Amino acid sequence: MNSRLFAWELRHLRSDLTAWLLGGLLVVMTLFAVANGAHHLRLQHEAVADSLALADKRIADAKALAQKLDAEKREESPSRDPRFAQGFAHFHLQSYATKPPLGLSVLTKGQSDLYPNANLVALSSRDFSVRGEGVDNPQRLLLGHFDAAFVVVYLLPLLLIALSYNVLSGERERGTLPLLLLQHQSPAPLVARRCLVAGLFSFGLLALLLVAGLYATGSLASAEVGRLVAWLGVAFAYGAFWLALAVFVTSRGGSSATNAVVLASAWLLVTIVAPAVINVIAKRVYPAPSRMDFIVAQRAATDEISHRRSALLAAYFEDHPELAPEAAKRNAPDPQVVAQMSYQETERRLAPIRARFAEQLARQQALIEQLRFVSPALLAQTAFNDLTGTGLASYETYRTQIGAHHDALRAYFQPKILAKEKFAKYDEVPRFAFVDEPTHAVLARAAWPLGALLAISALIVVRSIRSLRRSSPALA
Amino acid sequence: MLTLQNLTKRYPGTAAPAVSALNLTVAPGELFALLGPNGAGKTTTLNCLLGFVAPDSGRAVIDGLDVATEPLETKRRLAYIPEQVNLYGHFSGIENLAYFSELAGHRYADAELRRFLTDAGLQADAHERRVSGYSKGMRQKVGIAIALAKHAKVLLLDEPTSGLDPSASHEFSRLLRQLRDRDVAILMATHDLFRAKADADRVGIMRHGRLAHILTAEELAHTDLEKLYLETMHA
Repeated sequence: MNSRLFAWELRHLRSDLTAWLLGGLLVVMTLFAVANGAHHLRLQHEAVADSLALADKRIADAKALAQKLDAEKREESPSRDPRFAQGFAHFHLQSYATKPPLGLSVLTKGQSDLYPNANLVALSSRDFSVRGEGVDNPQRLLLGHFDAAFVVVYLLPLLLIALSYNVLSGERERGTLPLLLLQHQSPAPLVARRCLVAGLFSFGLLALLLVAGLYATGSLASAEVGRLVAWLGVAFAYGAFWLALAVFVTSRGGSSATNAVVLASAWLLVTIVAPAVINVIAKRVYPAPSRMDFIVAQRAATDEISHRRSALLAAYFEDHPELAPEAAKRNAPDPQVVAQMSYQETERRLAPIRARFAEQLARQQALIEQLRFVSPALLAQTAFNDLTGTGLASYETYRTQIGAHHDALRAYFQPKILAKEKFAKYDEVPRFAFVDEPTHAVLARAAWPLGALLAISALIVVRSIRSLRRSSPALA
Repeated sequence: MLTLQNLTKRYPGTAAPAVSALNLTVAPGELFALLGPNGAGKTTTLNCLLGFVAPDSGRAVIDGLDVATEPLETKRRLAYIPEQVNLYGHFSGIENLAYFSELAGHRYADAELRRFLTDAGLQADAHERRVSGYSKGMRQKVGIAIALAKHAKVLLLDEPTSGLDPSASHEFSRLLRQLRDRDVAILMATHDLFRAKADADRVGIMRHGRLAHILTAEELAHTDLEKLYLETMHA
């Protein structure tokens, strides 16, 4: 492309008051979004740090109490005594599973306002406690989260539309198009140059602001280059889609007003209507059991276990004959054995419900994964979530690892509790360490939406150029 | 040179063709004035030559090239000055000239651009001023400068003197004669009978898409053009 003509188009843009106003608005919105994201990230870091500090403090307190009890030669109930596995595990231990947020999550809150990054893992249940600090309040959720991804998905298209909806129709309405087309120009390169300038201005400004924002908030140093480049790549491809759409609408030869209405309608359809419809379809096709169903089933299981305790215990002792003599000697079952039996029975009954819940969610997700190709906005948003570690896949990995940690804790403590062992190996208690998905796996997953956005944009551009060439005489 | 061979154009939904089997040749260095009332087919003829309207049949040929099959090459050889020359108001006269010239593939030094503007009659102190403050006549002059800078072989004009005061109109005629002296073939659609008689080498009177009369300069000298025009319109 002729660089001098490109420079002329930049001069056109520079003299456009709308571009200055919209550029200024983009600066304000992006900086606000980055600041908002940084605030959310700080809260997440604090929640994770607080949880880990609390866990350490509980262990330190348990150690100190054990030393004090030893020194004073005092006896304490085993259910509270930190020198017993039972007392330590059930009364003193607070094991937190934490998912340190990525620095890049300054750009995308994603699912992080629905799923906390710090979960208390209890021995008695697989249902993880939720720390209030980690979850946004419903009012904030209603308002949506204003992060950089929001700016890209919702506001960047509006900026691009505003700068490109009248690249040709504006010239026609101004009366300059005949003169332009007579200078050895077909409309196609003129439109391409104008849209490219609009796109580079918008995207360049946005990318600059985002990198500066990451630097200013101290997140740039911890951001993985590959993920950051891919994030910006998806933003670029998404912007390219909107520019391609603007070129297509322009190529139809409508007036500026018509183009503006068509593009605004497309924005509404792509960013608001299509994601909502896809969500409804997914929930209709694969309805997940409600949380209430799960709680009701849990209560029913608990009640039934309580009513049929003798029969269930008998069955349990058949499976664990080594525990039966102790019970016979005491003429009453050990509460820890009852607790263990109740846990196993509850888990056995809830497992199918959990599985169904997980299965339906997985199906919903799979359907959305397929249908998201209908909405470029959804494509971009899911890629942003993925790349910043705030997507469903990352939180699913996290939940799986929490489950494994729960199992590890039970495997470590339960034999000791049933054997009524004394306990002093406080530093050997299994600790949770989140292992994030490998970056190459995330990048490979993000490559699909990135490729799809670029392919859709390319198809639209090719179609538009044909239209521009075919209809060029009528455009003047 | 420009040539029209049996050029016919009918717009959808209209009973009569806008241009019907029109034949015309304008030689290099010739100024042909096309007279006719509104709707006679003058602007459609120009649009066919510009490539903005595709004819139903016949050919429009610029410098030996068919407009329909060689649209870009014919545009390179063409300049066009509409009734209202619209330029970019946020650019100066010299910037507008530089921009349109570069679009056409010509890059000129500042002094050359100023020479084109001066040749087109634009005062030097206006070169750097924003076009948004220009009069219609000044814009016409920038339009002429664009044609000069393009080294166009054919110049098409659509009501170029409409709305110009007599002095500006006279100045415009002088510029047209300059271009004609450079062997540019000029086709001018106009309502201005006085200007047509004074400037044109030949005059054609169009009615219902056809050339009802063609008069040479010699014939014009002995003809009451206004009377002939009115008679043709009421025939």
